[in-house]
Amino acid sequence: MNILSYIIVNLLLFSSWQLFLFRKRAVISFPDRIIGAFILGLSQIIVTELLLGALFRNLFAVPLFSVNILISSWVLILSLAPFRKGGIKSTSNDITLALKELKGVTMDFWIVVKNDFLLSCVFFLVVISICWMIFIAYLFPSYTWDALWYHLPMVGYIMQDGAIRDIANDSFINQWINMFPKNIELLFLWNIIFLESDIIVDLTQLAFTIVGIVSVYSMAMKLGIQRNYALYASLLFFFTPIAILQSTTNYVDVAIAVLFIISVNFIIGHRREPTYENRTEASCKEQRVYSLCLAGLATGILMGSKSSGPLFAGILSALIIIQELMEQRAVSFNAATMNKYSVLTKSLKMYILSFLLPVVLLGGYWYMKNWIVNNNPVYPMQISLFGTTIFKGLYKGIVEPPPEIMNRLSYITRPLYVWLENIQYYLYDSRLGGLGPIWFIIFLPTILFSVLYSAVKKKYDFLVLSAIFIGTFLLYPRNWTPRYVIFIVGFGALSFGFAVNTFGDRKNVIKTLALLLAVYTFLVTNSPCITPYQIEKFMQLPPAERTLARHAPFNIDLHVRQEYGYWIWISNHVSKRDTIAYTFEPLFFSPLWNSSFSSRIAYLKEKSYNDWVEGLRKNNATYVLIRTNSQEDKWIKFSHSMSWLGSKERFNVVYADPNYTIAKFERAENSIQKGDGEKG
Amino acid sequence: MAIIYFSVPERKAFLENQIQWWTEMWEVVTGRDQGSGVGEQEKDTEKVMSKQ
Repeated sequence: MNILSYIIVNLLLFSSWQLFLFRKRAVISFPDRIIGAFILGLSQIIVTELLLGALFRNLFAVPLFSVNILISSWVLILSLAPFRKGGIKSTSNDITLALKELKGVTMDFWIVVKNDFLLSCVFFLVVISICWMIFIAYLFPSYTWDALWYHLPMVGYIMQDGAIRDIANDSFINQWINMFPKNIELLFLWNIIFLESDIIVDLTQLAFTIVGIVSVYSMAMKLGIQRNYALYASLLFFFTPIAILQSTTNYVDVAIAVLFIISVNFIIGHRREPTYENRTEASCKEQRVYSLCLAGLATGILMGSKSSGPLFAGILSALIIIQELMEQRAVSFNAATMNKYSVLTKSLKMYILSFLLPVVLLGGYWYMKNWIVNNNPVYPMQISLFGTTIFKGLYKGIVEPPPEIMNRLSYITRPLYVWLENIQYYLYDSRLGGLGPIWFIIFLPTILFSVLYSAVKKKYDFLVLSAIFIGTFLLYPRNWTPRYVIFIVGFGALSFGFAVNTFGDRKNVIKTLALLLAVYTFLVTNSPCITPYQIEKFMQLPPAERTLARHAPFNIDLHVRQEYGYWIWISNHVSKRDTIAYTFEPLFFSPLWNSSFSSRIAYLKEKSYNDWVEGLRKNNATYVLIRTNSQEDKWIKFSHSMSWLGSKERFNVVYADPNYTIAKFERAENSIQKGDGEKG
Repeated sequence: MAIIYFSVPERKAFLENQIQWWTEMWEVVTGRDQGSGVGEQEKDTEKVMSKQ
């Protein structure tokens, strides 16, 4: 039933938007409609979760399912409305045409791939990689540091409360959990809440990776690159090691990069696509409105996903305003009645209604909440301009210190050093490598070539793209950190496609080299966190026992080895609605929940026994998790000794190791009932 | 660019790690499992004193 509801809601969600956009096929290309349906689907998920969680405090599976089924049904009715001109016949024609189009596109794609040996090799390598990634993500639980530290706990807190709200600042990480924008975490929640399991939550970013390939392809087509080169370039984008490794983790960097690429794709080059020749002014405007709206939604999701989101939103806003001003100015030369004020007003109106409104709708909530609660939209980061503090905060820059080598390098040499990849292995958050050999060996030279060639030949479309991507890269803080700038590899892929399209004779040499490097990347992008022996072990375990403690990945093992015992106990015994009250600050909160995040956790530390017990009662604690030999441990032993005096609370120790103890908490009324029962 | 990339000091260690990974994978696939540090971790993980 859980799997069925998950499939039904997702199928209806994305297919309804796909059919909605199908009606606009005259102004939006097929790849852009795929991307558009993805963005609209994500937007619906985020908006419904925000409404249910932040406004109605009722974010649970049933209401979420019902609301989304209602909305998607409505979208479907709008898209296939039999009351439109033509009636039911028109509706069934639309469905037939949509299916025909899908079939046609698939056949065309297959023919292109089949007729190009190098392309088919790359394509099959991508397919095999994706299958492997799905297998690994299914087999292993989420094991990455930031995922366990705050990405998944964000989901846990929302699911246990059914509400999106700030939690008590009981620990260092809680302030970050409160402050960080959580759009991508809402998508993680979507992949857990219906299935009542976290088994595929770490595949959330893989969807973004695949759509990223489609986005790069769409941009390449807009640049006039030949289709097979566009496909080749977009598939090569996939072979970015850090993107491959992160695609099966609960981080957000791949999603951020792809959302930025999607936004740029929708904003640029709307006049150049071959399907749009001989269009009327009205259809041009319609196409522009749809493009900006979809870009706005993507940018809004992006802005609400990470604190660097406003930087992307600002850059894209500047791009749109410049585009609009130039567009309106071109129109005003032909229309004598238009003056400068009219030009500016029209441009701003288009920008605000089509782009800014969706951005604020999808991404503004987190910043407004921070602004109201902390007087700073990006709290706890301090914002200063020319020495003047605009928003007061706790930190002036990125908290995590850089690797020591970075202090010895300059602004220019830092990214170059990282791109050379002086590392012994790839990791999902590698700081000194991760963009891969294709980036350094092929994409970088083709960027240089393509930019220079475009400047000489006045290929303004490509120059505009270059300015956007390179400018964003230069403005991004710590741009030498690979996972923050994955989007630049997308630009590299475009440059590769552009260069190959331009080169006459040597393209096969370059393509062959790219294929060899793709094969090399495929072979070497193996995380040391997932070894072949661990794969073998996990394949032999029943699904319920494939837990983090049994995985013991090397990235966290040394830090949490002493916690595995109680993690295993929790995963085996904590049921839906059980509450674990903990009394210390664990390194990772995520393992305190059960695998479906249907249990609850509560921090309860008090100065007196009576206050503590009162807190346990108020929070309906089922179990208490304490450090062995702590104050609470003494209280529990004390309560045993006081039971003969009529103390009604009972703590039955159900797990103990040298470091931690778990006791089942039986409240006074339960104890009385049991006592009566025993007497009877 | 390829020569520069593949001649960095850590490339040798990187490739050795990858060869080891694929060697282990081959052993697992062919059933010639010699065990590894994972076995050590398993022993630590399973030292659980449960009173239930």
